[in-house]
Amino acid sequence: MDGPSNSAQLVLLHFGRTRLALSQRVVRSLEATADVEFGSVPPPALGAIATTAGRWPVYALDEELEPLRHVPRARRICALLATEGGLFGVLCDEAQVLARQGLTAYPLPLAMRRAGTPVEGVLDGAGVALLTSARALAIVVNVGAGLAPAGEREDR
Amino acid sequence: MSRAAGWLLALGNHRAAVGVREQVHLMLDPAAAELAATPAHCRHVIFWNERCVPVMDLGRWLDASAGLGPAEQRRHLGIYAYQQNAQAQVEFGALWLARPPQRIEVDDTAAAPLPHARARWARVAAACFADALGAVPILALSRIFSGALAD
Repeated sequence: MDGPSNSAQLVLLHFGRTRLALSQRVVRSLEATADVEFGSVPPPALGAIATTAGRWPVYALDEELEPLRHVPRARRICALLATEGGLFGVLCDEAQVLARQGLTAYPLPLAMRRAGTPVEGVLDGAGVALLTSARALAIVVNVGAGLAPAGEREDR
Repeated sequence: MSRAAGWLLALGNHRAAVGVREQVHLMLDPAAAELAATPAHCRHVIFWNERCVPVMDLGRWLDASAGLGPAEQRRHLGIYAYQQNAQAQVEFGALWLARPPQRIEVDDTAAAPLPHARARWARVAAACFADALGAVPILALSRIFSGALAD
């Protein structure tokens, strides 16, 4: 599992008012949205970003974690996330690294679990954030539909 | 004839009741955190006694087509204890309330059918009684917070 429960460091990605926490292990790099080549790949990806390891599809999410077809101006960072299938980029407003110490993680209450939600839990301590994983986000943006040949594999 | 004590709750424009021991805490001016990607009727949590407690807007769920009601309908929070079965551990859920709960006593001669106008009551009520203002469903809290209403 690539969720943040076992990681000493978390990365908080901001999507408007919504903050998502992921294990730092799966956040391979933070790039500038200006480096994304928009329109260069078929939907559902919005564009692609090149690294030394390959060229990866890029997606955007709104505050409700639904895929976007247009990129809000505030999404100035591209977080490159790792799954078993390769890397993909998610555009966000801000990103910050956070020590896990002093934060409390809770499972998402049953009454709040919608089918297909990428939210795996709730993090309290430095404000409130939603816990998720690269794998869950990959499903939401449908990475498989636009993924380039696999590059790096996720560390385990 | 047997009598039972309970709390009368104002859930948006609806009334309902719970057993007197089911209500464990009342927050008159709560600070609830809103979470993205959650159902419209259950958007908030509170952190209470080292737990993350979901806050249900049952009035909104009952009136699903009406959208979000005025903020006065979500002024207070009641926290309720429930068990999925007698052997299960006690769990907690919260309900938005328009007014502080009112202590009531009900006897079994007041039993009544659920309101016909809202078929959804059957999914969240264990029983029903009537008072001078009409039917008052008695909430089945374990059903409400089990996830059965999530989608």
